[in-house]
Amino acid sequence: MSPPCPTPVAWETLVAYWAADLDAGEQDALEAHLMACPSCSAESGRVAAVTEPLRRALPPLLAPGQLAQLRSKGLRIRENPIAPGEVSRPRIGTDVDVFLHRLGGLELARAQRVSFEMREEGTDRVMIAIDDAPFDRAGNALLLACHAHYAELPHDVIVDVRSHGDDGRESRATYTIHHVFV
Amino acid sequence: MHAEPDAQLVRWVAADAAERRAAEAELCRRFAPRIRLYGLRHLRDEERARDLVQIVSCALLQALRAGRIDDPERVDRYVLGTCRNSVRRLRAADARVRPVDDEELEVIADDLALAQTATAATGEEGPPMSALFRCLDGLDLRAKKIVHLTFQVERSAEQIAAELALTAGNVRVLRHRALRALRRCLDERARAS
Repeated sequence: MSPPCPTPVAWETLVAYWAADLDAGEQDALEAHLMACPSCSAESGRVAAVTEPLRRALPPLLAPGQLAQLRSKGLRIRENPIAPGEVSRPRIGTDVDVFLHRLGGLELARAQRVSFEMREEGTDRVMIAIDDAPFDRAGNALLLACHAHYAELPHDVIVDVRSHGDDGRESRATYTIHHVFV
Repeated sequence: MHAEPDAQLVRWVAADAAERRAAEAELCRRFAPRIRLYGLRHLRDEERARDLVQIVSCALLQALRAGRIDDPERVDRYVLGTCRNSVRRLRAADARVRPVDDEELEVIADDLALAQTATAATGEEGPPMSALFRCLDGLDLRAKKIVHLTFQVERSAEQIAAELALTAGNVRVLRHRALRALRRCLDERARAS
């Protein structure tokens, strides 16, 4: 147990530090304090224990370049192509690192922007909403990355994808996924 | 030894006192978690952060023995300065740098053993990823977006503010509240398990 600090650093300052949101002077002063103060350093570690795993975690949607990087690192990736309107029931185990739902059947060649929303089936609670989602233009698909760490999340989800074309037209596709974690 | 101030430990090492070995180990143990966090913040990589612990711990031991710590009361300044210089060198190398080469290894085998013990003592393993995602899912949608955009897309508060039609100040407040909620959720789950 570290001795208490007489001038403890505020939580919001520590969060700003780990979000790279302090100016150079503030950052230097904070780092000098953290190196001298075991108590504030421990608290900084508690922030980092949340932010850094998040930073390393896969985002829910991958750009094609990110997928290529994962492949080049030797990750075990299994693809699950899904067509609009389809109900997919994939079995996801620890034998793969990334289970990639390839949400296909879209016309993305002229898309300017794609929005993505994933809801819990049954409650309609929105779990993820991304207004400017990365997408695979050449493959006409969105790449939704799933893995065993999602096992504690709701398994049955509905995904809505809206693409906004350069001609002002909007198209929409819906996918239903009932995950089975094994 | 655990209750002695840093400056006393520094003096024992510099004087080659009977307590020297234990003092060296205690200083390494104290600074290792702080060096690791500095490395994690600037190198964004756990393995390189642990390399930094070894590099800085070895440099600290050598400086202590050579009496190069001018002000024992501020040994932390020496450690921070060494962290900054080492990170600059690691970045300049633009590749994963080994902590020491073979020749150095023979010379400072003892130091390395101490530094490695210190590295092991940082022992901060972070929460299970499944718990982290579960807690993240419990945040409201706007907070989730801010966390995602900050830490996964690396957007600034100003960029996020423009995207979500908020002020940058709002984003900062929502961001630290979200992080506090995540931290509490993880602590509660850890206690429950």
